[in-house]
Amino acid sequence: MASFLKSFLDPKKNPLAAMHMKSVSKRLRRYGLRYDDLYDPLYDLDVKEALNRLPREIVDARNQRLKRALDLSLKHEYLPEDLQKMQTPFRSYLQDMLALVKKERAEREALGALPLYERTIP
Amino acid sequence: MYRAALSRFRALKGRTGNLEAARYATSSAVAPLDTPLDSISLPPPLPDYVAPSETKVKTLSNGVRIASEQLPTPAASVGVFVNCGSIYETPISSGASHLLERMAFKSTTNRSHLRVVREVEAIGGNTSASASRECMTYTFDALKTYVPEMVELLIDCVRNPAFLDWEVNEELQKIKAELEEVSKNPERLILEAVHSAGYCGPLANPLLASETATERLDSGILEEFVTENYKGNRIVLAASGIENEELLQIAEPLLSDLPSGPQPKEPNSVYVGGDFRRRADSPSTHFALAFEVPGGWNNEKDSVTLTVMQMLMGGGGSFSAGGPGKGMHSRLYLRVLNEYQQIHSFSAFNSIFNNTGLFGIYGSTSSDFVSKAVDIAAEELLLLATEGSVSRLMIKRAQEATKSAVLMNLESRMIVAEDIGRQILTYGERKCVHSFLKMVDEVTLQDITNMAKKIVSSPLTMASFGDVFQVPNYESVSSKFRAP
Repeated sequence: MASFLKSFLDPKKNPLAAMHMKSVSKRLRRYGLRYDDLYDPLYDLDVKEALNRLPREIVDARNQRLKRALDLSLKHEYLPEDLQKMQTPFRSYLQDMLALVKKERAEREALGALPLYERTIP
Repeated sequence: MYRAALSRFRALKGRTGNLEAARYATSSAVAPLDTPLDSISLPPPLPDYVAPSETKVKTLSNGVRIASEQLPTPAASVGVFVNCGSIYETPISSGASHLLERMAFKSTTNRSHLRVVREVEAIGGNTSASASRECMTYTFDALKTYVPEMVELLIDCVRNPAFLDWEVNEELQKIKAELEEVSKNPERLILEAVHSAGYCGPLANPLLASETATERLDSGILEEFVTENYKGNRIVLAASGIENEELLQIAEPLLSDLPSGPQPKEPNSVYVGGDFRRRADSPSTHFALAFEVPGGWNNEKDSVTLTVMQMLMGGGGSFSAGGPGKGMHSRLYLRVLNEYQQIHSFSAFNSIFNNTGLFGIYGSTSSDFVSKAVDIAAEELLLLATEGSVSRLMIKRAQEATKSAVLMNLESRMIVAEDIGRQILTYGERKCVHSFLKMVDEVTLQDITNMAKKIVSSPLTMASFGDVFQVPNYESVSSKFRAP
């Protein structure tokens, strides 16, 4: 079942999936962002915990990419073409750590311990 | 109403026969106690002599030694003792043993930290880890029925630590905070300083990680330290309260694939003596004078003499609330603490390693009395070395105190496990406690005087913390011990 869904969503097998991936990639490349930069630590506290655990250089690079994208969006510009060619929007740095954090939280809940953090809506 | 009660009483009277006997009637009048009942089988009475249980040791093919002693308590205590410590640290991994002690029961490759904690809590056990200069210990104690779980968790935590980056960083922050608080515990600082000033070599490596070390240490260095030093022939699994066969059955498959390494070259340290001063704004000044005791644990007679000497000198804080059994009759209490009110605490300390040792006096006084206190300490040490200054009664008291301290400590199962582990690491076998007690009895007045003379002839190590300008010059104190 899972592999059927995977083949359904796989860009290499499904032309519709490939079109979606190309368009997302184009939009990310225009602002010089990676897909993992879009995960918001204020929305999901697991993302905040995962970002706390990552090495400092990776988190600094993420913040710089976000600042550059904010600047471009303010000025209604896109990244220069040569830099756009160099972007790697689907290179992942967060997914593994996020999966680990979610697994640990599930184990914590399964063992009956209180959660370490809970999101509060201010 | 009375008539009804009286009639009931008369009816009762008929049933019990004799009225006076009925008043004092108890159930024993029914069956006398001196004839045994027929259908009861009695358990055997306790024998007059119960043999003390002995320690059984088994060595595996890769050098790991598994030892245990059976005790009648319902609880068991297991420990892993590794012949590794701050003397095996290189300049890159300085402070690693302190960090390892704190990272002891955290995440492993098989369990997360929460799961380790929950499993320990589920069986109601206590874990502890400690790092010293020559030995690292990891202990776990709980009830005897949980021995398989205990042993498995302990060996998992020792062999497969994960050293996750975020956990290591959190512990490093705690170490930094502890270093800032060190001025609250000057005694520890002074003892560290005495070792680092007096020895030249690996024994001078600090037990507390330094500030630069906290910046430099990370999980890679820790992993390297562990894989290099936790080899089969340096590990002992010691337990108290468990049968050796049972322990072997559980622990052998877990430990038999540990790689065995070369015999560790015990790094040589030379005692040179030195001076350490740290200026601080503290209400009282703390100082220590120390000398070397060559021989260490490998020279058993000397280490026994040193232990008796430390009990003889004794001492402690001037406000310690203790009765006569707490050592208030020791020499330092009688001669120093009862005489001079400005001294807050005055005690003799010793630390014995495998090949060498230190013996000295630690004192803390108000800052204006320091030079006099240092003179008093020097005088006490010199008096030990002169004939005729210590009476036979004091020696006898010290011997009895040592023996009772050893026997009382050996009643605790955790200390028994630690004793087994450390003795096997140092001597290769566990010596019976009676041989130790016999050696304590053989210590004579002449032994103490000779040992004191030998000690005082080595270079002096001085350490002080607080208002160090009042502490006298190293040369002036050291010259008191040179024979005129």
